[in-house]
Amino acid sequence: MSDPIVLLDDVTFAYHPQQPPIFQGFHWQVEQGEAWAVIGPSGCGKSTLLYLLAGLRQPTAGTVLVEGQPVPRPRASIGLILQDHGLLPWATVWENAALGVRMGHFYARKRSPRDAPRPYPPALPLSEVDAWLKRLDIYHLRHHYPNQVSGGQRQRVAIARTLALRPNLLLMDEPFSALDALTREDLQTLMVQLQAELGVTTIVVTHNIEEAVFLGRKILVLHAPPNESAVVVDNPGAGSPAFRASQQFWEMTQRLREMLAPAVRR
Amino acid sequence: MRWRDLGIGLLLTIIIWQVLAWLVNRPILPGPAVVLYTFGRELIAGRLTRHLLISTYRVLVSIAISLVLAVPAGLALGQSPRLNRIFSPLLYIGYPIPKVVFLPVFLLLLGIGDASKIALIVVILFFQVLVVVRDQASAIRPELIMSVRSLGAGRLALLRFVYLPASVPAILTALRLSIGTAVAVLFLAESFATTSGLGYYIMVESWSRVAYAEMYAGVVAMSLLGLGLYYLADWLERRLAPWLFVS
Repeated sequence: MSDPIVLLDDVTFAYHPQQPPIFQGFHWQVEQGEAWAVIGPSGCGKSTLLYLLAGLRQPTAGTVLVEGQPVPRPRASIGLILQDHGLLPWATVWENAALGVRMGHFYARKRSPRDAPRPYPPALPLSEVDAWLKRLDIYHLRHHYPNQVSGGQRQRVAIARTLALRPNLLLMDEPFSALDALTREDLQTLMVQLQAELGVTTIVVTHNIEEAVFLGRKILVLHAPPNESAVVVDNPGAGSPAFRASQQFWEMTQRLREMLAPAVRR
Repeated sequence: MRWRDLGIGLLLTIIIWQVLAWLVNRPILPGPAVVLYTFGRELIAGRLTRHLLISTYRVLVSIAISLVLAVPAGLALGQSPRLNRIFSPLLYIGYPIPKVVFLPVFLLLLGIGDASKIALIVVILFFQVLVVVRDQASAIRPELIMSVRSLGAGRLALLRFVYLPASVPAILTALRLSIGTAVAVLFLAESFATTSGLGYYIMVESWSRVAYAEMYAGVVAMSLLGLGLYYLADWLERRLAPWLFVS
């Protein structure tokens, strides 16, 4: 078995020295190619966990390793998709989707830092951007600006922008929670298909129980801080679009609901 | 639509001007017909043209220099709260100082040629552009910065792909606001201790000779200079920030 792609070892993280830490002595690992969902009530540290993996936050103590390396700053091989799609309003759909690749060319001559993985995006051919726009059904919108397309289409652009860099790890923070129910389910199905096609390791943070059960073959349940140990639920049924209609899906959502309920009442 | 607005505006200006000229009924306010005729004559004769070109050159060079200096400085302050903390007291003091009063100093230091006029306008525009660009750059949503950083962007790529394009509308707004100031300051700087420019043409060549029609021809030229620059800013905005014009 290969090394885990994500390894949290004895991780402690606090936003303030005075406040109780969000994580304390926390262990967690993710194997190559797995599809995870992270769920918990607001303030439980779901997003913080993702920022630690993305290199946007540093642990107070302990080690965070992605692809066997610490993450002192964001790197292009770790894709991050936020609820706020983060598209540049002054750039067209195509320019937005191509942003990472263009930055790759911008940094093409820049040398990598010593003893650390290259943080900059790879200088891939721009034709890949077209391929992703077509795969995600937004090619016809390539000359539009973000404020001219729908919320779901904007999120597709953000997905194209991230996947065009061929990430080894895909992190998503409440990616679809600002969307209407139908668009949300549509994009959830798309993510399941993409995960199957690419085999990319995926971690989705969500507060939505159905979304967690549909997307995560493993589900990490977080509670009110401090989180000291990882509560993991196996959900082997996830990974096919048909799962949503199954008895197993419904039972799993019930189980998660019961696990989360005491945290809400407390 | 815009051209029609411009036409209506010009027509109204001319009507009000004519009515005022009738009411005042003195040589100090000639009517539009005489002035526009003189304007055309002076332009064709080349007397006014030379001054108009010199003034245009001075304003354009001043604007270009102030953009080159103020935009990078504004971007630097806008994306670094620490730098901003260091420099904001200086800006706070420097911004409201009426820099036009330094005209005599610039004349002494840089002489009566183009340099003193350009320097004075640059000093005034610099602060206006700097403040607007800084505020725009610091107002960029942190989510946007985070998601671009997550693509592997370092400081340089953020400047190139986020901060600079984000501040284009602010730069153009600052530019539009500064045009009036720039032309006004230019007039003052050109109205003494010089031998060229529209200010010189209006104050020295015409007013002191009691040539009122010529004086107003100079005023028309100066107004056209301001209007032309205003349209230039509009045109640049449509070229550089097309995303502002889509619905």
